[in-house]
Amino acid sequence: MISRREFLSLAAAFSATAVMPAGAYAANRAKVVVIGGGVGGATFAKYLRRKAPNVDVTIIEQNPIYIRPYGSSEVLTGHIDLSDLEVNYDALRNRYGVKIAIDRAIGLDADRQIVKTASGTEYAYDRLVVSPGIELSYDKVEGYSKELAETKAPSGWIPGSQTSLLRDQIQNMRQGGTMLIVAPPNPYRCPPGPYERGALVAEWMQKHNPTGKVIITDPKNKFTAGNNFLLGWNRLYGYNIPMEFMEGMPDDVVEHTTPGMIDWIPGKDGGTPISFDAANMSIETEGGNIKADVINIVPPMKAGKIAQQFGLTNEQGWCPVSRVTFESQKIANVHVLGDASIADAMPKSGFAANTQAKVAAYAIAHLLAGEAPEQSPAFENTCYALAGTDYGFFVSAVYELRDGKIAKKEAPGLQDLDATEAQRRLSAVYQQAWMKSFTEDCFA
Amino acid sequence: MKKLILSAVVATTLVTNVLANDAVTTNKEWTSSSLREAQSNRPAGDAARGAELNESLMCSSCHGKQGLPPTHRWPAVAGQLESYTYKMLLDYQSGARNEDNRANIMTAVANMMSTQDMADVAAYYASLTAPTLQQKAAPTLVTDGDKGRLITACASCHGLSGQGGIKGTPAIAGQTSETLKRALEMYRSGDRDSDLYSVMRQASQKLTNSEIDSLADYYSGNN
Amino acid sequence: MKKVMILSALLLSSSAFADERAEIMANNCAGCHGTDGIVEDSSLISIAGLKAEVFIETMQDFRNNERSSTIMRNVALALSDDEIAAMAEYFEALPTGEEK
Repeated sequence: MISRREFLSLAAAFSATAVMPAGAYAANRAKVVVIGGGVGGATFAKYLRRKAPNVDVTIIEQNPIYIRPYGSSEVLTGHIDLSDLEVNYDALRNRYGVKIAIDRAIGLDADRQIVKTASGTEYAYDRLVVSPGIELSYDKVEGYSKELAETKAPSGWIPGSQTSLLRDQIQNMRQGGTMLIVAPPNPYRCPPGPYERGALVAEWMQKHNPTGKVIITDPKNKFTAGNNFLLGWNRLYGYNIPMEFMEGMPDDVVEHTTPGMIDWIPGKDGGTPISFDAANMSIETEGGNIKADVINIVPPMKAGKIAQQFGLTNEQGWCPVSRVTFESQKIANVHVLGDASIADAMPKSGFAANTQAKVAAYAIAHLLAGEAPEQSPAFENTCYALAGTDYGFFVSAVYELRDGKIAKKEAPGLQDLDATEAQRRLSAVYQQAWMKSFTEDCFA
Repeated sequence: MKKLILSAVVATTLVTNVLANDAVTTNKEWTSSSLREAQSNRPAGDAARGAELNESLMCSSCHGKQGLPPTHRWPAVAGQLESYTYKMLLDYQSGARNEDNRANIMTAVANMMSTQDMADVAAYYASLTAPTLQQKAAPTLVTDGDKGRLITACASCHGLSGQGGIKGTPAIAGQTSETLKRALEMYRSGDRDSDLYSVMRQASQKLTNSEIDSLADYYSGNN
Repeated sequence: MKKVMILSALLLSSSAFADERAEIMANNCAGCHGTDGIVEDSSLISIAGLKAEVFIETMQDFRNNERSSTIMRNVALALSDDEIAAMAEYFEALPTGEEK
């Protein structure tokens, strides 16, 4: 990991090259550079180009193809292939004239407003948008590492080869085997994710490994849409809902007499993970040792590496920003959006990144034109989650600025626990439909 | 003997698809006798119960409480032939009707329904007042069809007023032009293929886009 | 793009920002209802070109459960009357494309 001092020395090296300072471009076309071609970066680029076609937008992205993380747990059960998650940049290029540079940003000269990349190119910007997603802190789990994630106990939280590995491990698990999911502490990308993953694998096991089991061990005592999940698990996988979660549950909750397919160990019951023993394939938790055939560790997270390297992060590893423009509070003319940003009440999700990107795009369009941006923007996070292929529910929230922070507007934020079967089935249908329309809104 | 085998096959198909989550599309084409069999097996429908199901199964969200859709994206079902509604639900449940992603909603809903549920809902819709059509000049395809392209006159089955009911064809009067247009396009491309003996696929196969527009315009009454 | 005319008596002042805020809010719908309110071959529907009074009535029906839904009730409950009216005008003005 390169230090800030090394960065500044790289910056000194820039002055030797013949790059025109950003100010010189202002007379012609304004230039916006985006680091990261994921949901946040892509949506930002598209919406800025639509709003201000006189602004040049360049995305610097390492991977020529984007692999979407939402819906990636469906690869684990064989419902889709990894290639079904792929999204290309053709529409961004051809329809919106976004320049895509397949490259890696390695240096920032914030004073002269230049980004340097691994290929040796320098990008001058009037505004820089950094939307790098997350970095998984593998080493925050004792005994765990990136290497182990790629070979033995995948995280599969940024989709790719780890997803395929995890899928193979699950599908090749011995009859009666156990999959252990280690859930992360807050804040993390995709709050319902680990629980949806556990549910879908449990559903798959009912058909393919009926004596198998899924255990989720958790440093947390609750999680997003927790009641909806626990109720779904009770109805589908023989899970018994603990007393403290029973309030508001509908009448059909059953007390199962035999162990279910899925179990969840919250922090207060000893679920907090302490260390991973790769040789033994076990996790030491505060409540004891859990041995498993497949171990899926979702480690603590922080803002994507480039945000840290550029000095955009705080001590916790996330980026403080203006809630109106998403401009960094640490470096002027640099904006951070999506998972990497601190957006108060908003979760770290694709939908959140998409709406933040649109607000930032409009704000930057105004700023480049010398105007004030909209002072009371609105954001949203609406997202469907599954407890089973036909059992869906959702989180839904609209956000506004209140007392200088992004706050959820007053309204129910979850599906009612007494939702009917029709609502659950339709939620599952809409989940699939939404993933497609959402991807199109970001990338097409 | 043959009749029994056919009905057994149809029954098995239905049961299999109710139980399986990811039901394989059997795409078994209807024959007039298999369809007659299915209709004669249709339970007596309870319209009052159907009205309740219309709410609890969320049909009303798209099709309206009185069978008239609140937004113009979805078809009206008010006053539809009981046998036709029933057939549509069977087709969605079996996967015989699966023309595009919109059908996924209906498949999910139909998968929840017993044949009694379907009959009840069909009875309820049949009891509602169907939309009507202002009489206006009908395109020749409606009144005469086109012998050269082997296109039967639409009116010969659907009626000049789109009331349907001849040979089990649905009422189509007052549907929005977009739903009628979509239906014809889907039949024309063959994506929609649950029509008995391909009669609609046959009729629409050689239609031009502007003919589809004018037929949809006529039967929708500019809805 | 045609300037959005805000007709409802309840509404925000007719500053440029009132229009833009409506647009920013409307952008949030695009994840499901499509960029510019058009989504194709989906169980989700396009809302571009929807008549303003239909939009407003629909959102009210979602709010009070007169019309059942999955997430739309929560969304409608989170929006104020002003916001709904402003978005209704915005969507009505959007071109419908092939599919209305």
